[in-house]
Amino acid sequence: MSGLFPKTASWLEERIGLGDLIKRTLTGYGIPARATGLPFCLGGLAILFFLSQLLTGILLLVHYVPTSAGAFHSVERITLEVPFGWFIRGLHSFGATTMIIAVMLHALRVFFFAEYKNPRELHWVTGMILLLLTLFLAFSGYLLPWTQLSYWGSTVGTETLRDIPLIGEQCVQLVRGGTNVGEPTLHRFFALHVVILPLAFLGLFGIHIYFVRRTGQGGPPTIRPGEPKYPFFPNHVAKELLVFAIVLFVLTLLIIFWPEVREEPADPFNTPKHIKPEWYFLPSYQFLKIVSPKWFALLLQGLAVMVLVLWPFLDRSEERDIRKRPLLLAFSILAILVVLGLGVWGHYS
Amino acid sequence: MVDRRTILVSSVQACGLAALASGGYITANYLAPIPEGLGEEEVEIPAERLKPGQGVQVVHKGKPTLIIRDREGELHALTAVCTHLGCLVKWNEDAERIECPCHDATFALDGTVLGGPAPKPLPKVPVGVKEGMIQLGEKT
Repeated sequence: MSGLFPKTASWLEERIGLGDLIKRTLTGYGIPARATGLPFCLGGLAILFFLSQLLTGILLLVHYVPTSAGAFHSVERITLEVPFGWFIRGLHSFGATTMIIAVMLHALRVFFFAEYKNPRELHWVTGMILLLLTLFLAFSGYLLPWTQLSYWGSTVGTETLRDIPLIGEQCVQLVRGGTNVGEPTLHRFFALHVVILPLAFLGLFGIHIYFVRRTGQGGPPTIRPGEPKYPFFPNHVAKELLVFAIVLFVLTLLIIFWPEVREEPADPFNTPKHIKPEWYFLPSYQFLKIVSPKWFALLLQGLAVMVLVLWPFLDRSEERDIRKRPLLLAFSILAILVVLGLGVWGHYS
Repeated sequence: MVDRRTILVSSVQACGLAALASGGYITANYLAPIPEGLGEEEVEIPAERLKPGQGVQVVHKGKPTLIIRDREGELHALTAVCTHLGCLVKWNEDAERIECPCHDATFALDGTVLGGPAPKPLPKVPVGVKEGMIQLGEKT
């Protein structure tokens, strides 16, 4: 341990064995040398943004009032009056989008590099559930500013549950805590957003990392056993931090030059025009609009999610190189294009 | 002779420290208390509403303040925060003294300690009447 504080480092080393701990868990751990490029920084980027969300979320909690009477004004106060409140809120808002993109791209890399294959099936399963938790985190947080858009977006989002056969109405009421989106919904979403989902995410992330450490990272499909390793720490972590710093810089520019538009407070008696969900729910929203009956659309979506989560158990081929599986490659690209197309259609419809 | 690795490690640590300092500065500013309505609040109580012997608690420049009219009709205003442990004091009309409900400190109309654990008198606040309204603060 050298650097700026050698004395502090040796003091800590003597007392808590920091160097030994780092060697056992970080520097002693190697990843395939060919698994160090930008696509392999996406998982780290996602977790760094989760930590950023945690930090900015805690800061927002200092001023946020989780009641229907106080939520909107407290968010206005954070944005307009609290020093750097606009920045913290902007970082939390843009950070959510960035985290979703990072998790999605990370999942796409794992899919196209077939890193989910034996013995890494559980990396994928836990990763997919983490992606779903990320989406639920974003959805539950969307209501909290209590604006017209967030109120009616959450109304439309929760309303889709009504089409679940037999128990639809009960599901809607359970999520909303009543017939309509109101004070109980805000309390439920607040509890989900700040306690339940982050804890679930952290717990599952621990399990995800345990699996990754146990069976190792897959790397590119052409990788062969015995290829050289690359130190995870500090080398790879430094790369991930650099990517994080660059993305953070871009987000800072966005926050400064593209600030949040001031919105109207939620009005349960006045639905604004063109209510749409956030971009990550647009494909699902458009699919529900065009497929009838609604319960069938929900069933198909549920099946699609199940197939996605359990994909490693459905894809039994041992071939990892997707270029040698043209049918799967074509189907995967088509599926991505359909999802993107539905999203664009949903946006402009 | 300083080698390249030492320079690299020190540079990364320096960047980390700079990032931490920036984050710390933003966080400290974000968490700093915001002055609430300093100098903006006006106490608007018609002077005739406060009868001799009566007291009223108001918020003046963010601080709880007691305004009391004594039996002779003279107005007194004092900070309503007990100098012992910060509880809010109340005007006892019958006993004609200010009392703290927490630890029984008692104060006279001019703020001086009559009894109990309070170490200091209650600070006085300038008070007067302008155009029939009670006015607090330096201006009066």
